[in-house]
Amino acid sequence: MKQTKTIFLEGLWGNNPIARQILGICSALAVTNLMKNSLVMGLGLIFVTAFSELTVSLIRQWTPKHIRMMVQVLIISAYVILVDIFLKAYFPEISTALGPYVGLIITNCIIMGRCEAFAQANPPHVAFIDGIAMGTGYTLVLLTIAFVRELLGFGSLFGIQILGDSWVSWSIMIMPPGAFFMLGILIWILHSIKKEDQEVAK
Amino acid sequence: MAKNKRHNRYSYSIGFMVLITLITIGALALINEATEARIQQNIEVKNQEKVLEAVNLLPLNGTDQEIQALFFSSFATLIWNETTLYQLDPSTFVVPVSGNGLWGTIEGYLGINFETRTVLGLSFVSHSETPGLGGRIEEPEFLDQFDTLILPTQPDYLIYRPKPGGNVDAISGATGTSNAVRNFLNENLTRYYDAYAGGDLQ
Repeated sequence: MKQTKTIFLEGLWGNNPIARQILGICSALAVTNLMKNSLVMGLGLIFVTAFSELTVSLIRQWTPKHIRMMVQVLIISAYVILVDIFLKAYFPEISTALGPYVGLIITNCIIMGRCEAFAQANPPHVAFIDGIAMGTGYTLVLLTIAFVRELLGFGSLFGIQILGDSWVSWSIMIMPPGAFFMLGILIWILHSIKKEDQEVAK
Repeated sequence: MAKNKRHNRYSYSIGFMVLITLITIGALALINEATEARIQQNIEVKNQEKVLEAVNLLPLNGTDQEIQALFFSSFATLIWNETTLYQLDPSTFVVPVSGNGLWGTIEGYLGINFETRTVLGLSFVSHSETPGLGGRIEEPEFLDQFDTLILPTQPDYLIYRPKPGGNVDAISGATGTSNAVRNFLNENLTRYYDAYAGGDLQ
């Protein structure tokens, strides 16, 4: 139980994949102009990371060391294709909106990184929890960025209009530069808070 | 981990990879098989939406069932030269239009009344034009120009303003795509007009 808590704290805060490890930046920039897309992307990533880590961990004793990367990529792609098929069948509109980004979960460094760094050395249930924790950390950062971008760029949240007609949308927020600004500012803020933590602990 | 010597033999590695590939492919094939019908159904409904859109009959927020019911009650299908045309009344058709865009094939539907020489609407099913530039051909600003557009009596049917006789506005910043769309629409229109005049579309 205590271990679970530690893993979650690591994923959400101490070792947050985007803010700390600076992994998965590409998708964090690409899909964060709408909160709905960010949420679906995040859920997809949680699913893929958790199950890939579980599978990699389950077969780690039998996996020959020198081909482990190949095996990991294979497992990750299988899960990503699963997510893609699922979205196409049951949520065709979200599937169209995310377009190629679902397939690009395969190249998200977070999954590969966690499989290699964590799942290879830990028992299955711990690896599974780590996958959920890391995926959640990623999702939270995505949602934070999307919150600001959608609110300022469209005046809405999850597609529901929040700001009135008098609001002039900042179109830069829904274009790529908006993502760069937001991500930069967010990582800056998180790093300054973290530094204070360390100094207090000393 | 991998203490056993046999783990490092080539035959073991190859065997392992083959086995795990077979397992993942098998699982994905099963899932694909199970959802195939549903995905096909989604694509079909999407297509029917686009056909309805081309004659401005698409209801707002209609369910899949409503759209299908409306589609089947509105149109009679007609096969001409291996293309499927959708007939609304004796002189009104929704015809598939396609041609080379700037980057790839563009496909869509055009609703047209051949007697009154009126285009009723245009919708695009798929394209691979640059998002934000040529990709704006699927935005209302461009498409709405084709709602009740009366065509000249002979080719070229579509001419961009400010040329003499211009009836449509091109997209600024996307001249390549705009010209491509005009060219293939004109070609398609000529072809269908000839067919109609020749009495092939009865």
